[in-house]
Amino acid sequence: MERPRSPRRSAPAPAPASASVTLSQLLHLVQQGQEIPGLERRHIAAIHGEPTASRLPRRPKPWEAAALAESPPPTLKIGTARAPAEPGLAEATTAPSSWHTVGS
Amino acid sequence: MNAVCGGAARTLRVPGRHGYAAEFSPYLPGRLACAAAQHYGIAGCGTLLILDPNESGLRLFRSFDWSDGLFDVTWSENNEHVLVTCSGDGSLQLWDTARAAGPLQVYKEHTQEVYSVDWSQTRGEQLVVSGSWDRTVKLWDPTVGKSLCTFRGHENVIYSTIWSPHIPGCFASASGDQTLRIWDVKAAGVRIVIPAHQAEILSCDWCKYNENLLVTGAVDCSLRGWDLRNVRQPVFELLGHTYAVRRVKFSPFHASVLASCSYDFTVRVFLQSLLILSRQNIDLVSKIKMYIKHQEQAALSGLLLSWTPWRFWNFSKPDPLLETVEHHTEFTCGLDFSLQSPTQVADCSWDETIKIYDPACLTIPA
Repeated sequence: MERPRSPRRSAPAPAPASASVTLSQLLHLVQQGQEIPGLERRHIAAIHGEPTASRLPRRPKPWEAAALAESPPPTLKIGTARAPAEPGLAEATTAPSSWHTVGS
Repeated sequence: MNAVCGGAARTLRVPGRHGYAAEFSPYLPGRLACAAAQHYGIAGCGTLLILDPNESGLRLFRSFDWSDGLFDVTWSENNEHVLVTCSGDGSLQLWDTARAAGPLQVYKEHTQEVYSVDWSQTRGEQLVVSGSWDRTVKLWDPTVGKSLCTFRGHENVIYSTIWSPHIPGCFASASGDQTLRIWDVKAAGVRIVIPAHQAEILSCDWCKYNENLLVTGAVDCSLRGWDLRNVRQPVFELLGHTYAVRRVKFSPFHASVLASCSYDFTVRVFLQSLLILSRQNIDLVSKIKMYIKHQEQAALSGLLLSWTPWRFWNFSKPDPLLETVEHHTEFTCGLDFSLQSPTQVADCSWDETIKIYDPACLTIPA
């Protein structure tokens, strides 16, 4: 049977700024509307650079060596699902009601 | 006490940072990326950590900060320097490990937290998929500033979006709407909707050795396997977690081996609400008091988060639980299997440590 773990019960007093705050302390601070010690605020922007050129060849995945023997790449096999009548635009806000949910 | 490991774990302590996701580099043996947040992701900034193994442990190669917590990370499949992270502020970031500062690019379209990001593994594509609490999945080409496509249909927050490792242009998503959905980029929409659980689904992953097989992990504490050729019922069910399953991952080396972790989701709902409220700058204290009134006092009296450690499973065995690895002192939901070593995994925890280790169950032949 699984033994659930509970974290240490900390006294819900505000932690000194230099120490890490436990989850229960943090939630208590937020509940009390107090300042969270050591909160780091950053305002970081993109530098809009190009990635460093790659020099390494792509490595095959462990399962690709096993699959090398197989011929055509797999395609999505839909068993009992019904393919949509028309794919439509992905921008549609809801799926067409004619699409069936599969399974009981 | 620890389950016996194949050797001592390599550990790095990262004070003040709580790990959410870890991923091994597809290129460099042992290099690990970890998405982390300050203050459990509730408030403050986030950090992307890049780690390399050294003689006896782990060293921090580089770290990059972001203005908000980072919830997931994915390495590029065509450039060893490049990664993408996703954040609590709804944006994605593109990073270059060969640069001291970053990010290279920021992609801001999602209107709520982005919980999942994944770089396509099929050749010829350079596609990233992101899943957000705003209920949408977005498709990106990192060289293009705007998303290529937005996929709508989920009726609740999206927790996980993962590319098929075999079927080009195909990805899965797991949602609070209790469905696992399979999407097709070429069809620009959903192909299969599976009501996989009668509870929120927090995680999903594809089997690496059977292109039709996925696993879901849900708030009902179960893991279920699904064969896309017949989704009327699961092909396996793994029970034993007493809390919501937060993360599930299939092994890249062993066809029927997977890892999972769980935690007390009732407190997670509370944290989630806190997060949302604090970002909206609403009168936080009064809102929390109102929220607490609706919760059982006992569950929240200590504001504790109960959780369980990693479990490793082999679903093809009659007794599928292989091992429980208990080496963290706080909740741990970031895990990845090594792509180079069949026995090695990494994890990152809210106890401010990141570990690389070899669970006994992977070192002993199945």
